[in-house]
Amino acid sequence: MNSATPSTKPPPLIFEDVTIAYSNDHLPVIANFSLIVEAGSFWAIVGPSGCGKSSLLHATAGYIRPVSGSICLGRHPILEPSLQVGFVSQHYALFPWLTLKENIVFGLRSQNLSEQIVQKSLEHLLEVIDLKSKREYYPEELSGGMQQRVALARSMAPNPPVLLLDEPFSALDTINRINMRELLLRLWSENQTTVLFVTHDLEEALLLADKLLILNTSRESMITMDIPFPRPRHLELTHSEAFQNLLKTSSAHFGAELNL
Amino acid sequence: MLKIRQSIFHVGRMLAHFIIVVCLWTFICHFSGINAALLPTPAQVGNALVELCRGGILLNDVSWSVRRAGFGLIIGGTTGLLMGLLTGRIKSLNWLFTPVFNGFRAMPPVAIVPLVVVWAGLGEPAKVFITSWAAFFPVWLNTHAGVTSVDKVLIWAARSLGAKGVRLLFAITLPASLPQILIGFRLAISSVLICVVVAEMTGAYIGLGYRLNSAYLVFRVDRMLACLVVLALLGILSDRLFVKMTNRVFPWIRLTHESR
Amino acid sequence: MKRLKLRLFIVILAIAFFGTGYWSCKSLNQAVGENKIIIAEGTQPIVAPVYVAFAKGYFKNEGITVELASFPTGKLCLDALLGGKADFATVAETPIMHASFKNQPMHIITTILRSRENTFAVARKDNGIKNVSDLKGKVIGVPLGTNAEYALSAFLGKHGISTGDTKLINLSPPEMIGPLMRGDLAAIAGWQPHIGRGEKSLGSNAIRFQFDEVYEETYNIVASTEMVQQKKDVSVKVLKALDRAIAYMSENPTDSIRIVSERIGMENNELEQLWPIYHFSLGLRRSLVDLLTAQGEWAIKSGYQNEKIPNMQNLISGDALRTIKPEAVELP
Repeated sequence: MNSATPSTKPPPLIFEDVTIAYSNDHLPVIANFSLIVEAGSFWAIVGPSGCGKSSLLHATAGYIRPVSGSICLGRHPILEPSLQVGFVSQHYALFPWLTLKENIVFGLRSQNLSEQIVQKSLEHLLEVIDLKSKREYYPEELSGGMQQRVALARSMAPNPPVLLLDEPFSALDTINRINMRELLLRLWSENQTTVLFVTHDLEEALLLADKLLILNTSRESMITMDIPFPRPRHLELTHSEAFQNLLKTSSAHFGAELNL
Repeated sequence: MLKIRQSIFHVGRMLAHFIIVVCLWTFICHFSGINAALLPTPAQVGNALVELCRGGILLNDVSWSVRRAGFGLIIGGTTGLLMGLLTGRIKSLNWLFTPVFNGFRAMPPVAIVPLVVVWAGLGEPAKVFITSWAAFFPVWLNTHAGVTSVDKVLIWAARSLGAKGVRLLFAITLPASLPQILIGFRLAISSVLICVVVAEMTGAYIGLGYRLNSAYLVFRVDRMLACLVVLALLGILSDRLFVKMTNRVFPWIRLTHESR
Repeated sequence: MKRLKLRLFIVILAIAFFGTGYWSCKSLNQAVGENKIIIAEGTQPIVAPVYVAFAKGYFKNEGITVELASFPTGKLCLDALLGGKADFATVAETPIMHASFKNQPMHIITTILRSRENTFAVARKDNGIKNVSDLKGKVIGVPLGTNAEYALSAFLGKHGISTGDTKLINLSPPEMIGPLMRGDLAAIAGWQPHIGRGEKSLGSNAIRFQFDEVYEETYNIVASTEMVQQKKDVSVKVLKALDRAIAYMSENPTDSIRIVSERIGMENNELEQLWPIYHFSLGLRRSLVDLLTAQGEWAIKSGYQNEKIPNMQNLISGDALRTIKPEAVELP
C-alpha cells in the first residue's frame, strides 16, 4: 500500500493493568485492563454503550493518559499521539481547508519523504479508494462515504504499526457501510498492520476481525474469542452457514453483555 | 446564462432597495414636519454630492480616508491576528493579556482620539494608530475565540499524523480558526471606517471625517448626509470585496450562500 | 420555580427600564414648559451676564424660572435652540450666519458682549515667524467655520495672504494647545481662554497676531421665532434680568468674576486678567448686520455655503430690547 517504508513486522501492543477515569469523583471507565495484542492481528472490540471502548482507543492513541497502568507499543510507552498509532473516527476529521489529495498526504509530509514517494503512495491510495477523479475536491464536496474512504486512506498512508478505528462506519448508510468493510479488508490485506476496531455491529466484527474482545459494563472483566474464518475474507462470507451459525451463537452467548 | 441572470437579479435587488429608501426618505421629508434644513431631500443630498465631486474634493477625501483605514486594517489586523494566536494557544499569555485587552476594548475610540492627538500629534501616524486600534480588537477577539474553539478531533487527527509544534499551529489551528478570524476582519472593516471618520474630525484638513465635521459646523446637513451616503457605499463595497476575495482565496469557506 | 424567578426578574427589569425612560422623558419635557425656560449657554467667560443673572436671582425676580443647559460651544447651543430643546441660546455671530442660509426660525434679540481682543492668533517664533507674511505656507490650527476662521481669513487678507496660501487644520480651541506645543502647528487661531493658554505655553517663543483691526467679535442671545412673536414678554423679562446683571458686573467685578469662575471651573486669577477685554452691554447695532453680511460673503467665497446671501437684517428682532432700552437699538 505505502511503498514509502519497507515491510517490517510491527511490535505488539501491550496493555498492562490500565485504568482510565475522567475525574477522581467518577467511576473509572476502564479498570485494570490487561491484554497483549499480537503484531499484525485484527481485533474487533464490542460492548454496550459506556463500557469504555472509545476511551480505550483514545488512551491507545495517546489522546488521554490512563490514571494507572501502561499502554506500550513494544517496549515504548504510548504517552502522546504520534505516527506510530493511526486513528480513524466516525467523524472523519478531514481537514476542510485541504483538498482530498492534500488530506491523504498530510501524514506522509511529516515523514520527510521524497516527493516521488509521496506522489506514488498518493496515486496508489487514490486508486484503491476509487477517488482519482476527485483529488482536487474539498471534503465538503464529498459524500459521507467518500469522506470516510479518504479518512481511512489518510490514516493508512504513513503505514502506522497500529491502526485504531472507532466505529468508523456507524455514520454511513448500509450500502456505504458494506463498501467500506470491503475497502478495509483490501487495505489491511496489503500491510496487515495491528488493528483495533471498535464497533457495535457484531456481524461487522465477525467479518473483519481475527479476534473479538467483548467489554462489558462491569469494567472488571472482559471476554475474548477467536474468529476462525480464513483470510483473505470477502463480503460473501456473511452469507455462509458457518458465519451465520457463529453469529447466532455469539449473539446468544454474549447477548447479555452486549445488551442485545 | 445562469450567472448573467443572477447578476441581473442582484442589480435589480440593489436598485429596488435604493428606490424604496429614496421614496421613504422623500415621504418623511414632505410629511413629517421636520425642519427642512435639518432633513434635506434626496435631491438636495444628490446636489451636495455633485458639489463635492467638483474639483475632485470628494475623490481626494475618499482616497485619504481609505488609505488611513486600509493601513489601520493591515497593521491592527495583523497584530490582532498574532496576539489572538498567542493568547488562544498559550495559557500564560492569555492570563497576562486578555484582561488588559478586554479593558482597552471597552474604551470608545472617540474617547481616545484627544489623547492620541496630545501624545502623537496631528500627523498620519496618529490617525493610522486610531484606525489600527479600531481594527485590532475585533480581529484579536475573534482569532482568540476561533483558536480556543478548534475542534479537538481535528487536533488529535493532526497529531496522529505527525503534526506538532509550529506545524500544528500553522497547518491546523490557524486554518481551522480561519472562518472565525475572517469574521473578525469583516467586523474590523466597518470598525476602521467608523474610526477613520472620528480620527479625521480632529486635526485634519482632508478626509471624509473632516468633510463631515466641517459640514456640520456650517449647518450644511445636505453635505453631511452626502458624506454619510459615501461612507455607507464604501462600507458596502469593502465588505463585498472582502467576501469575494476570501471566497476566492479560501474556497472552502462559504461566507455567503452563493454557490461557487 | 427557577422559571418563575427568571420571569419575575425580567418583569422587574422591564419596569425599571421603561420607568426610567418615562421619568427621563417627563423631566425633559417638563423643562420646556410654560413657566420654565431653558437657556443654552456656551460655557465660556463671555456668557458672564447670564451666569450673574442666574446666580443673583434676577431671573426669579422677573418671575421666570430659568434652567441653564451647558454646552461646550455656541454652535451646540444654537443646535439645541433649533432642535426645540432650548428657548434661548448664547452664541457668537458666525453660527447664526451659517444657520441663516437655511432660513432657520430664530432671531437675535440682543448682543451681550463685544470684544476686539477675545479672538486672535498665536504663532511659534522658532518656526521662522516674525511677521504676518511668514505665515504663508505654514500649518495653522483653527476651528473651521467659526468666527476664528473668519477673523483669521480677514486678517490674512488684509496683509495680502489668502488662507489657501496656508494649510488650515480643523481643531477646536482646547485641542490646539498640545499640537502647538509639540510643534505640529506653526500657529493657532482661536478665542480666550484657550488661545491665551496656548500663548502662555510657548512663553517667549510666542508671537501674537491681534485681529482687532479687522474684527470685532459679538456674543449674542438668540431666541426662536415663536418666542419672539408669541412670547415677547418672556424675552423682555430675560433682557431685564441680563441688563441688571451687567450693571451689577460693572459695579462688582470681583464678585462677578467669582461667580463666573465657579460656574465654568476657571481659575479666578486667569479670569481677572481676561476681564478688561470684555465689554458687556445689551445692544443691537448696525455693525452686527454688517458683520453678518461680511461673514456671509466669506462663507460663500470659502465654499461653505452655496446659496444666495440672505438679508441679515431679518435675523434681528429689536422689539423686546426696545421695550427696556430703546437707545440700545439701532436696528428694527
